[in-house]
Amino acid sequence: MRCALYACIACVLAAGAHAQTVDPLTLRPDAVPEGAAATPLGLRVELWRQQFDLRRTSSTQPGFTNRVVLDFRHEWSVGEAWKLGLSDRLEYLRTPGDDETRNALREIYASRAFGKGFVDGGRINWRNGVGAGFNPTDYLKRGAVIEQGTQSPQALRENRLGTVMLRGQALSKLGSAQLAWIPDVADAPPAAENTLAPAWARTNSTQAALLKLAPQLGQRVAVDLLAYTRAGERPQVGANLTWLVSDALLAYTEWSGGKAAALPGPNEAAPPAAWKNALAAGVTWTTPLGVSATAEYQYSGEALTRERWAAWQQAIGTPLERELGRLRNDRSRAQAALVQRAWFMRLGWDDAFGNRDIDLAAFVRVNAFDRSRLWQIDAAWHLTERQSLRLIGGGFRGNPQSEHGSTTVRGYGSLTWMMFF
Amino acid sequence: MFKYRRLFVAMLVGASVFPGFARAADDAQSLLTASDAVRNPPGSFSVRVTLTEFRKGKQTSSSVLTVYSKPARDSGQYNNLVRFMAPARDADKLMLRHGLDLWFYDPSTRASVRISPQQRLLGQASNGDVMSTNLARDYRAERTGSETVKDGEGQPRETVRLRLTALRTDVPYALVDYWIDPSNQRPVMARFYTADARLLKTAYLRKFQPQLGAMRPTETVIIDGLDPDWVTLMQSSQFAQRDVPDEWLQRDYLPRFTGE
Repeated sequence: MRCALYACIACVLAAGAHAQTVDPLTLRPDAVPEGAAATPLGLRVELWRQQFDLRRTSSTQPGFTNRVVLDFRHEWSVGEAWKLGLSDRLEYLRTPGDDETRNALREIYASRAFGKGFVDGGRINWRNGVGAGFNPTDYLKRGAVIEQGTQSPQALRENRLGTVMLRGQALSKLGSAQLAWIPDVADAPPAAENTLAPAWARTNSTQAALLKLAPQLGQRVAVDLLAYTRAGERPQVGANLTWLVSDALLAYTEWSGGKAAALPGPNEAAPPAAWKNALAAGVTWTTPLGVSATAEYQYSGEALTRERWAAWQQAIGTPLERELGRLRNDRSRAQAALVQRAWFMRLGWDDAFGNRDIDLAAFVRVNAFDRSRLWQIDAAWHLTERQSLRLIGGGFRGNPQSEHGSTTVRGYGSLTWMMFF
Repeated sequence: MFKYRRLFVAMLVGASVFPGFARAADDAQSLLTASDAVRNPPGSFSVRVTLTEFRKGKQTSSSVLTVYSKPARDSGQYNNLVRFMAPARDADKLMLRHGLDLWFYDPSTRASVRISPQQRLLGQASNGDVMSTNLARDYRAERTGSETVKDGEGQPRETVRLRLTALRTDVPYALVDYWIDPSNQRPVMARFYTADARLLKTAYLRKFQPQLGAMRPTETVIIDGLDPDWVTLMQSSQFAQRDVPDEWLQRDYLPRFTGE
């Protein structure tokens, strides 16, 4: 029956094609694609208009923001063995009654090749993890987030500060081993940051070391093993596993474990450090149309338990609410979960409707304790080879005492024009 | 018991009276192998691929890639590393295919993300179309006839038609009809189907030019099976024999890749 339907559709389309009288064998390209000959500069100009729907007036949250952004990334080869890299984002923001200029020096580094080994030095964005919405093994994310107009986990990972490090990597047919030493180059971040400063203290206020092993195991299973230690904190170990279940189904698990102090409830002393696990486990299924659907379970052992979160919820509307606000800000800056359990679902459709110029994505993150939700829809339209328009809409939903229902912002939307050079 | 005896007799008769069946299958497979050798240069190599997409006869988009291919020692297939060159928004993104193991690297996130083979690379052009593949390794070939077909230049050409049946479930197409010019083993045309024989796409291989020691197709016209107005032109150029070290073909090398 289905074959007959396809045959009918094919006949109709074939008849239409015949009417067009365009012989596909005679088609020729108009011109060489822009940028095909020259190496791109790596500069992106962005013009943003963001609008916020607020639940209540706030002295820190404006109703709209206009942004002009110069986003630059480039890597230069110097001779046969050296590479130099620079990644920077300069933003001018205009809000009602205020304007501000910010700069984020994301990366600046030098890299030297030694046969099958490499040594890198400088500020480097070294991201780890296979989770789509939560990355327990992404140990260098803390303090690295840059404020921006999207809540997409992918965008938050992209636009973040690197960490100053000296890193070595050895490669062989068996896999890769990397070891980084992270020095303390600055004291703890000041309360009021200079928005144009490199903000070394956000990523490098204490010494740390990170080891990653990525053995070559086979075609269906890939594993990374990690170990991380930071001065004043307990060592953490982690692993990433991806498994190709079928041609269209990919399963993944990201785990990290180590001793850590759990987040306390209101008026509660910090509990002693104990072994805590953090986990992101999910599957991504790709339909024949090319739509990728991801469902992910997120667990963070050090975050608030159901009982402690319920106790904090009772504090909303009391003087303790300010404490909760501080806790939320700290967790947000650390890109860590506030509560122990959450669900994350994402749909992505590149070349949507068979059109190479349209990319669509949507995600929702659900607090498993209070069922509140953060959602976002993202549509990109590539106007030309160099220009794109991007429309984002999102919101925080839930009852007034829930994680996402108690935010100042109820909803947000933005329109961005981007030009690539 | 009788059933088995009858089967045994049938096998004996088949082997003695129709030895040509086995030979025909061997010939078909050999022809497919020879045709693979026309499409794929020997050893490791790189090639620039320009993909231009048309809708209703109008150009709608284009991309430029460089594909680095290396024969895999174990499977007889190719390991491929694809570097996106244009448009500018995709520049320097990488895709690594190591058998079923596919990784996508975006320099903006400096992260390698694993993807499934179903996640398509470039709209209508699948990973299998862009990357080097040995069809003879993944398909059983059967000769289904001789035909005169219109080739990619619009000229009539005498061909042998093969029906290719996938030997594994993880290949992009379950069934393929493949037309080969027996005089020079050049692939002329292919139709790719799903397992339930639904036409996915038709491809014409053309503009044979001397590249890396043989006459090889430098253009492929891909026509969508459901919407014939959707056409992708794949042009190959800048063929170069080059070493592709094993170290390149792993996910943690991708941030290091310069193509040099």
